[in-house]
Amino acid sequence: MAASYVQVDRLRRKAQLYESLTDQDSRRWEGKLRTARAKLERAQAGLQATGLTLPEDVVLKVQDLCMYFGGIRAVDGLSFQVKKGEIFGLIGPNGAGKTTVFNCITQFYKPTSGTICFENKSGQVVDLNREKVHDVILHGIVRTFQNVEVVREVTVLENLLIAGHRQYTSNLIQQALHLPILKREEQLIRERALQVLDFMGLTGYKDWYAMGLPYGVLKKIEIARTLMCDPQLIILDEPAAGLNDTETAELAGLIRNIQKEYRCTILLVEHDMGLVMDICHTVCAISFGRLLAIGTPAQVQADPGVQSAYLGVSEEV
Amino acid sequence: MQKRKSRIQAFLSHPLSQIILFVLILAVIQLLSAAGLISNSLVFAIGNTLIYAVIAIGFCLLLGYSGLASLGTAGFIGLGAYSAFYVMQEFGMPYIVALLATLVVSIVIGVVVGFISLRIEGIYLAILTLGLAEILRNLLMAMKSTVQIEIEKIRLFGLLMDTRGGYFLILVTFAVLFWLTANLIDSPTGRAMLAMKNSTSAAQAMGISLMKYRLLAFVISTVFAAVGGLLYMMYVRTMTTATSTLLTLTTSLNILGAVIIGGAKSLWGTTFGVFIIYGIQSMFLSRIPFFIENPAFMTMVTGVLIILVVMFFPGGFAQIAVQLRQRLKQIAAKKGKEGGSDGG
Amino acid sequence: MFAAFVNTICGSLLTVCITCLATFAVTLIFKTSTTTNFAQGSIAALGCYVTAELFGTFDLPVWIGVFPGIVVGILVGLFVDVVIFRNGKNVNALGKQIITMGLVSLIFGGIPLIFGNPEAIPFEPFYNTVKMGTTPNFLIPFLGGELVLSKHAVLCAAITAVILAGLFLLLKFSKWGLAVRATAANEFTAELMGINSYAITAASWAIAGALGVLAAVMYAGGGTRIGPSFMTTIQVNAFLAGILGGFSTFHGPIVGAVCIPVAANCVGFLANFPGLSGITRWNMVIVYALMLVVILIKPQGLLGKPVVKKV
Repeated sequence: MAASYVQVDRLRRKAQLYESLTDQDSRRWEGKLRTARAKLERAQAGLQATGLTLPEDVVLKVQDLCMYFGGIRAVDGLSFQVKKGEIFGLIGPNGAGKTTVFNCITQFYKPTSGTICFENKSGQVVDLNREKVHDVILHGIVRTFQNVEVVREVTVLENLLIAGHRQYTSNLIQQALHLPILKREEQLIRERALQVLDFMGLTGYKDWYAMGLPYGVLKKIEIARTLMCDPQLIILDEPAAGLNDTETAELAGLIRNIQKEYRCTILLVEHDMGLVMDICHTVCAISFGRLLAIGTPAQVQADPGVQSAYLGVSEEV
Repeated sequence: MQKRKSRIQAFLSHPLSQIILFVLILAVIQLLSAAGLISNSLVFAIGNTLIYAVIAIGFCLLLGYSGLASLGTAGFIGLGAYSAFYVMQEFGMPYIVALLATLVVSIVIGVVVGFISLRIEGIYLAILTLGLAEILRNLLMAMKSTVQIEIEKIRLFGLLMDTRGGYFLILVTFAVLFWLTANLIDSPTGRAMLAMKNSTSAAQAMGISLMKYRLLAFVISTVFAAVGGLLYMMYVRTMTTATSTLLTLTTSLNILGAVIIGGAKSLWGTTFGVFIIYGIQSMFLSRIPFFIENPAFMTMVTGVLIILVVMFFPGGFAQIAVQLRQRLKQIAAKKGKEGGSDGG
Repeated sequence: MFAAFVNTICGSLLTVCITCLATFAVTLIFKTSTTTNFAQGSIAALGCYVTAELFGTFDLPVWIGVFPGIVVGILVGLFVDVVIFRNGKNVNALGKQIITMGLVSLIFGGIPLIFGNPEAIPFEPFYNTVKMGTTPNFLIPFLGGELVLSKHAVLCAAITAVILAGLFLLLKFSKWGLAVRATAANEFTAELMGINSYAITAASWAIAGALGVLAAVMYAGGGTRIGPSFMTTIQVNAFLAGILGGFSTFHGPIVGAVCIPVAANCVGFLANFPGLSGITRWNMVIVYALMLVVILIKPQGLLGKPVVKKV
């Protein structure tokens, strides 16, 4: 029987949940654990190989990506690779198509053409263009937004629970009846959210409503949300926008910390060159949807094409 | 003393105990009327109002949590009412079969219309459901202009559902649906809906399928509306579609008004809103000559209240109540402090 | 048989005109205020009541009485935009939608209080006043049969054609039209470009109110009984027309507004065939289902363009 990645992921979580329940009360849950494991194995066997491969150390490979809006070529034949565990910066002048690239990777836009291959949490290489926008997170890709998109009507803690949405396996009936299995699940995810809040230094804001919190805190909540989802690749869209110098310095440390602690890859768009040059291992410069230069921060900085794109070409040479 | 007080508070703040308390009070009212202490018509009006409360609770989930508006409520009430009529009166089947038929019909139509309109944009839902409700009303009216069920035909597990039995059935239905909805709200589903209402992009990035949860909220609201229609036929037993306002746009707007005025994010607020819009009218105003001559007066008041609440109090009465309680607490705390310093 | 079919289509002429006017009004507001104005029909009904009152009580002919009615429509439209929308605390798209629903309630309840609950309100079609003979219909010999065209419908069609042509020319070529299109595309950018988007949305509400009342007077003149909710069907069709044609353009909804009444009459025509006599009660259901199929295949509408949302 063919199974999709979404199903397998759900069954895996279900098995994990029953494992934790079995630890508490083995007699009651053992049987369910066994069935869950059997189902998982069957589904895993049915999971079709994608037939895609990536080089050993590469996690994301964007190949000939094009995104046209009517006549506007926002991204035009862009290719780059992101290595595992690096902090990768995407830079370019305003309107270069940076955010469009992010939107293509996270499937908010369906690219006009090109492929985006990604090695997900379970080591399988997938073509992201085949995934729905809300399933991308299951592969371990989470993002933040340029203009902060926090759920303002709920508390900070609940924002993190929302981020953990796909980790719940309870079905509608279990939720409507508040069965013990949902409560256990809720407890596990809540514990995890508290850990993340602690890591981000947000514990004090736990029960505050997001509405009316200062901008810097909202930005932190967005980053905290990405950490709720076993991230493999975190995509940050202008994380330093609107922050002052101290906050930016703090952010640099935080991003490094996240990369170390969660052993994930970080991809970011940023205008603050100081930050990019400081924390990125690789920098990719684009202009008008095309690649200008890619390499270490120093290499990109020295590239004449990049300089002219940012500063304009002098008429008299 | 203090400990007992906080225990009582904890008990009262749990939705399950709240709903049980509420149902017990209303059940006692019915018993009092049986003893002749309260007029039967008042009790009948309470039962009638509770039917609208069932419908409004479903709408609360749609409007307050998913941020979607539907104008098809009346159409789905009609579906429920006519399924009740055909199943119980024409085919002579018991109440349970009518319930199943209502569920199936409302879910199927809800899924089809919801899927098509939500695929485009949330704002389209109100338009397509408005169309559906108008068309359904005309269709149902053409099929049968007056529907009437004989009292002997309404049987639940062999029990005759007369006015008293019907009242208790409404109470139980309200309690069960209220509890299920409260649970759903306090679970990943409720949070996913709120996330979607606040920011569709954030919700999608967090793995929430917009279609799944929008459709879910819409279908739940349609099912509750259809169950409301079924309860109405069970309780009132007769409806002349051409003259009754039950299946017109006014009903959809009144339900919307009840939810908005009571507080779109609060189930108790919504119940309170229903009592303002339907309860006051049917329990008290229906005896005052001015309101008998001008039955539309309350509709106008509802309209004014909707506009004012959206303009100035987006949280409705529930929000006002919370703010009042906080204010009182502050005052009490101040007084307590003063009292404490006096004592020390 | 063919002549009967042509007659069926001609029979929908008046409804087509009314739906077109209402649809244009709804589309204009949808594009400039990003909301669906559910009160379109009830504002129109209110204006129509004013006209009817002037006709019934003061014997003012309908073709004069329509103007005070239109003024009322304009004033209510302006009231919604200028007084209600601008003064609410952060009223979003859903909030606006709900306010218009509240307004429906307000007008539904208000009309009986102001105008009472008469059994039937006297009204007359336009042609009574322009001396077009005493018979209500033009009879034209056609393919061995007779083509029946209501004079009222023909007159309304002419008025509608002139108004719509004027509005489309204005949209296309005038400064006002450019400003409306700019506001519709992006209100914020339009403001930065020096367009007074407040004035544009207010003007749209005024125009929508006026068109609505005109449509309602035409509808009542065609013999429909006036009531607080008598425009609901037209309004429903106007919205459906907008979705069918696609709200992203101005002409798409108009195409939809022509299609829906014609399609309804065509389905009704099937009742002439043996075994299908019961179909009339289903005709709107069938049209609605057909429309659902169309937007299932083309979600942006028949003539709409897909819109990309920016995140």
